[in-house]
Amino acid sequence: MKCTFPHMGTMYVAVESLLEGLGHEVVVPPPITERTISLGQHGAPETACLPLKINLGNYIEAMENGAEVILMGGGVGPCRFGYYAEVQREILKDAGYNFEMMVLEPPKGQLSLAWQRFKPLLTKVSISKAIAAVRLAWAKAQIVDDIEKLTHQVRAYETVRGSATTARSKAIAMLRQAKNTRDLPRLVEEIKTLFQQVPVDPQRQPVVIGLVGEIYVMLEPFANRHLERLLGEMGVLVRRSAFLSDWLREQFFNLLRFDVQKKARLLAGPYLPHFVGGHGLESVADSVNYANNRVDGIIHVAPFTCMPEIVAQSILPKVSADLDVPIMTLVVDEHSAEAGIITRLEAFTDMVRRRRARQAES
Amino acid sequence: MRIGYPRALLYYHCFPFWKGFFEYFGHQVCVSGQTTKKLLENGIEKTVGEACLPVKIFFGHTLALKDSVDTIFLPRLVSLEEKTYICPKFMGLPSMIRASLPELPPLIEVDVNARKGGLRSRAGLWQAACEVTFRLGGSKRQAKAAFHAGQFAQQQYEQMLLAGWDPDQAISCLERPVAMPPSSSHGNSVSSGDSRLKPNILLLGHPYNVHDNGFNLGLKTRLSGMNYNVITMENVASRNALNEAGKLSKEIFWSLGRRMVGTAMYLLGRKEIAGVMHLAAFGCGPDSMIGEVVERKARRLNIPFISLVLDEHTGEAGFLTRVEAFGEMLARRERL
Repeated sequence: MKCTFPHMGTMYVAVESLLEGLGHEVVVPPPITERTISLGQHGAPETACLPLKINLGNYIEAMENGAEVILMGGGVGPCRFGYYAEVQREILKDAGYNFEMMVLEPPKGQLSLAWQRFKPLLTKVSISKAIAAVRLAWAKAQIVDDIEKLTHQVRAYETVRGSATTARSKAIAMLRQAKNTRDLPRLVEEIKTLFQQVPVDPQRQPVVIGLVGEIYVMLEPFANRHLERLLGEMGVLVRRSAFLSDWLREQFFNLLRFDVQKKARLLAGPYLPHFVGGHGLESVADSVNYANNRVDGIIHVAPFTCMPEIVAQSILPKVSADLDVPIMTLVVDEHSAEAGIITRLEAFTDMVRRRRARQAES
Repeated sequence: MRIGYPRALLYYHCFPFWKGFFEYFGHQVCVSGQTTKKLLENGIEKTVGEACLPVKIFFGHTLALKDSVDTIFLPRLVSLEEKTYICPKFMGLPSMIRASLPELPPLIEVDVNARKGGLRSRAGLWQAACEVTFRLGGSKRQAKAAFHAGQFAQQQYEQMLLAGWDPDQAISCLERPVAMPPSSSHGNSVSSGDSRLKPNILLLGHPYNVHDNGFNLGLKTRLSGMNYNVITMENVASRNALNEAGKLSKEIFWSLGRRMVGTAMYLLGRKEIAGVMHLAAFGCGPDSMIGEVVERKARRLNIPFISLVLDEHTGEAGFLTRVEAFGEMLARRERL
């Protein structure tokens, strides 16, 4: 059974490790390119949001490489993501592809039937091996997040442009090779040294910009046209409000997240007292949180037509005015181009820099 | 007290309930006028560009009410039926309005959430009714009576829609309960005898798209003028529609979306319609998925399907050309 799954930033590192640990052959979809988007866009409904189209492209490219089973997340709304798998399956079926789609969600109907479906996925190896695989994957997800944080931190101070990005790719490649939880502590040390070797200018005082928004476009660099790299190379210290392990925790261990949700509700409360699906509430809450922690600016990213983020986008100007922090919304879709995004980011960072200088004077 | 109720979004779905409810307390319910160009422009000016046209229209209607009423009723709709949600924008609507329109009269905000079910899914509405009553200074006993008054009006309204009435007609008829309801003027009921002669066309879409002539450029009237019998979601009993929708491999989790897909499946299955016209607002989240589901089903059954997507830039001429072309294609198919 050759399995594949959609990309979302660095998620493949953890999921690949998990599936291999469970004894499956894994086809990681090729890295997202323009071709991926154009393949996906072809069959997808026009006004569907960007992740649906990129997912489709991932599946098609993975099937070209021999994938037979697609693993996908599900949900019960109100965000469209919950219905992605249904629509994507029908699109691919009508396009003549031969595959099986496994949707990871609470089953409809009899539990035993659901077990029959997922049995081949889970029972290829012994229980102890399966547990080890889950532990390794989870550890990798957390390390990958640490790599991202290190990259954000180092990139703003690097003296040779692109060296933090190179260190990041090397670190991720090393992490992908790890087959055992025992190797991980040593690996973490190696990764730290890798980033310490990046030449930096510690005297620099970069402006701090917080990223909030919809999780997919925030985590997937191709969807946001390498927003973090662009900002970092403009000398901005990027803070991101959500990481892979946050999302995985939310998907699979929802119960453990009550404290986080409660905090988000408390922060967003004065502006948005009700959850709106997706990450709309989190976008408002994280913006308030960043503003309270005195960042210099906030960038809100969202896929075009994303319903929860439109709610957030309507509310953020009020947050910006009340808490005196610049907020820019960046909406991306398959037609976004890097040049346009660079121009907007340059304008925003210039404004943020000037604003900070003015505040320092007074 | 004069309570404002914007003639937009779920006005066409649940206005009679709230009208009956508020009038029980002796309040006057003021509805904004029809959607006009001016009203639309006012709304667009105050809304974020990415929002869909129905939300912009809602902003326009809310603005139109602001000087003429004491308070505006602005429920936060979370779910209309058990185990479903409604589009996230409805959940955030009062917050969006508050953040964008600072100079409004006080708002009556209340959560309507039927997701947990119970009491035939009316529990959410009942809780909302109680909360509003308490805020207006009423007792639980009064809440109950007002709730029943609202329910009564709503049931009458839904029956009239089922029989093929136009929502505007039905609401104005409910306002003058003494007048006998005139017989349906264009008899677009699925079951009525004479209409069987005309081909049926399913006009599928959210009620605020299908029934707002300012949004859809009078599409319903135009289709009737082209000698089609227009069927909308309200003309099929929700029981039948939901029953059909339950047959999907995964149930749709939007209250109205589920009913729309169910209606389409019910009518497609009975082979009673000549074509499906899906009317959506540009950027509508649920419609992008629902349209896709219905289109694939219609195509497999070889029933023509057209997707009409509208926004504030839609030109009337281009829109009408597409509608007419679809209509003529259906007519040619009938003749073959």
